[in-house]
Amino acid sequence: MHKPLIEICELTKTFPSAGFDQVLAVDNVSLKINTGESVGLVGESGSGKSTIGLLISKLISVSSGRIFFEGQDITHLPERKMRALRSDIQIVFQDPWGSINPRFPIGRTLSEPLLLHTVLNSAEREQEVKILADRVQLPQSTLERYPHELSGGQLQRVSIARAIASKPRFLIMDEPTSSLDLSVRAGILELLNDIRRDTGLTLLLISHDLDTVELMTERLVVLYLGRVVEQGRTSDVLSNPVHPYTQTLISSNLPPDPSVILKRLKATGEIPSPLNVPKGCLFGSRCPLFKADCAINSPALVELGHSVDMSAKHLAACNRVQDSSYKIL
Amino acid sequence: MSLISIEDLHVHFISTGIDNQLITAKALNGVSFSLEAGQVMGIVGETGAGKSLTANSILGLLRPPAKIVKGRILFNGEDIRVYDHESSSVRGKLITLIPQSPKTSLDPTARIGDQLIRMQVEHGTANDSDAYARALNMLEQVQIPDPSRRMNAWPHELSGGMAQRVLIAASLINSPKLVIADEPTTGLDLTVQAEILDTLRKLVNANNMSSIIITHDLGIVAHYCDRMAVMFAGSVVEEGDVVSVFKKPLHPYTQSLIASTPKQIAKNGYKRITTGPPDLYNLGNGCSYKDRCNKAQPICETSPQLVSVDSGHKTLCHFPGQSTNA
Repeated sequence: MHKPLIEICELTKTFPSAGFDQVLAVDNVSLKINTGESVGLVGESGSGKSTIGLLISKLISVSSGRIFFEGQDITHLPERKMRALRSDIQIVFQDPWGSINPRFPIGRTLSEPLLLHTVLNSAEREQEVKILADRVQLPQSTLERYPHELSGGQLQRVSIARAIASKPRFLIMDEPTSSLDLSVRAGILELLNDIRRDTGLTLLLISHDLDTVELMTERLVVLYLGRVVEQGRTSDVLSNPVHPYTQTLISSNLPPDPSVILKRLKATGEIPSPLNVPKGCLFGSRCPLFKADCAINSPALVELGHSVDMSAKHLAACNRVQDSSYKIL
Repeated sequence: MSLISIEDLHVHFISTGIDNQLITAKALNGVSFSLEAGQVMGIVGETGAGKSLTANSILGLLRPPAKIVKGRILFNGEDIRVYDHESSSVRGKLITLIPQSPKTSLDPTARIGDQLIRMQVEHGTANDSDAYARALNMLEQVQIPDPSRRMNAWPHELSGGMAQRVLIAASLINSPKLVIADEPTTGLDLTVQAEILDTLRKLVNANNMSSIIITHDLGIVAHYCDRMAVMFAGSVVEEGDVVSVFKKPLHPYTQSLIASTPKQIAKNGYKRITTGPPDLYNLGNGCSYKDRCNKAQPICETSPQLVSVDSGHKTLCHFPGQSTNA
């Protein structure tokens, strides 16, 4: 039995909005991530995927719920104590241009985490920075350059090098490749794959690209308006989606192959405003399987029959799954 | 006769360097392709390959330091390069653009309806009373819910997907012959992307228009385009109908592009690409892809000619169609 490295329990995050309104960004999300696992988080914009990443890395505070790292409750850990854990939990952001200090040469950006989290002296740090650059396949000459002199792909390699500098055990990646060209993207994915193989890193990959998630993760969590609507082994969820939202999402994916015939499902209407979430099932207003009770009962995650692996049960939150007439769209 | 035909287009960026020497970036180096009425063409390539620049050349939107140094752009057989920018009866009317960032491309100080009406009045395609009805009808056609209320909406009240629908409505309102969509769905969600592309494709087909979709997403090309052009370092290195290009990519760059998709990686493993794009300020002789190509031979130091393999499937390579093993 694996021991969860990260566990979040009934996590909720609301952001204040104009007046007395509250934006419900993350609503009662629970998730366990085992050591060495790679978990994908998918959903539309506004579904709360990035917020969950920020919550776990403690860059923003939770509204309610608990976060555990190796069994230790870190939800309200004071910053002073959290600092010791920061070397273990690192994050790579979507936009490399916006997340690297433009006034530091790359070498300094990479030595900063070593200064904060290790006891290495200056010569040792310099040596370690060179090793890091090699690790992410950046030429040594880039260490003296500034961010504006680098391409997007190179900068994303710098972000990854900075994140792995403190030898973290858990890495959160928020859309690491969405701003990159296809061929550059493949290089970054390969690099991540190598790092995982060599260090056994645990990964949370936040993405809206289903193909990337399929390639990189073993387990998948589908979010809709801040709630988990489906989760399970990545291959189970993608090849056998149960929730109508997951089915819609997958049917909107465009495989780069003209011989694949698309089976398009349409969710009518727009995603409801998180300022004013509907009662009952959040997907109800767009769902092709909608029935009257969907507007009243908020569905809970239920286990589906075909799960084999206990640590990666296939769960879906849909009122219709229990119906005898339910069939996949 | 093709609806639009681009012949040997060269665009250079000419500027002064720090030592007061003129420096030239060869951004487009002999782009040629043509498109028939009713067809949708996808242009793919990496950042800096010249996709958007090609579109801007067609639209007459090039500004210094960019300059067309050679080549012709024929629209219905007429060279539209020479038209005066301001009085163009082609741009905005017969050739329109769906821009990349919907939220910043609408006028923030005018209501949606007023913007759609103004476009028709400016181009003289409708008088004031018809223009309102047409604008309303267009919003309906792009599937905006409650269109009569949206006519009075301000751009900031729309979501990204809604704003992109409004821009599609705007691009189609004057019944153009050619619609150029520059990364029309980048930044939009998967479900919204598919709906927007469905709408665009349906309207283009229904009105016998042509469209050029610029994208770096091979999935969009595979499912929404009839023909495709692959660009690298300012040249079209491969052009053909979508099915044959995906089935048998001729140029090593197209092959590596297809091999870089996650699905292909899952099947065949990673193919390492070691070098970045070539320096456009310092393009050497011969094939621009030779530094990245794993089957480069001495002959690649000379410029390859466009070779036609099947009917309409062309490539710019000395060794068309040989598979790469790297």
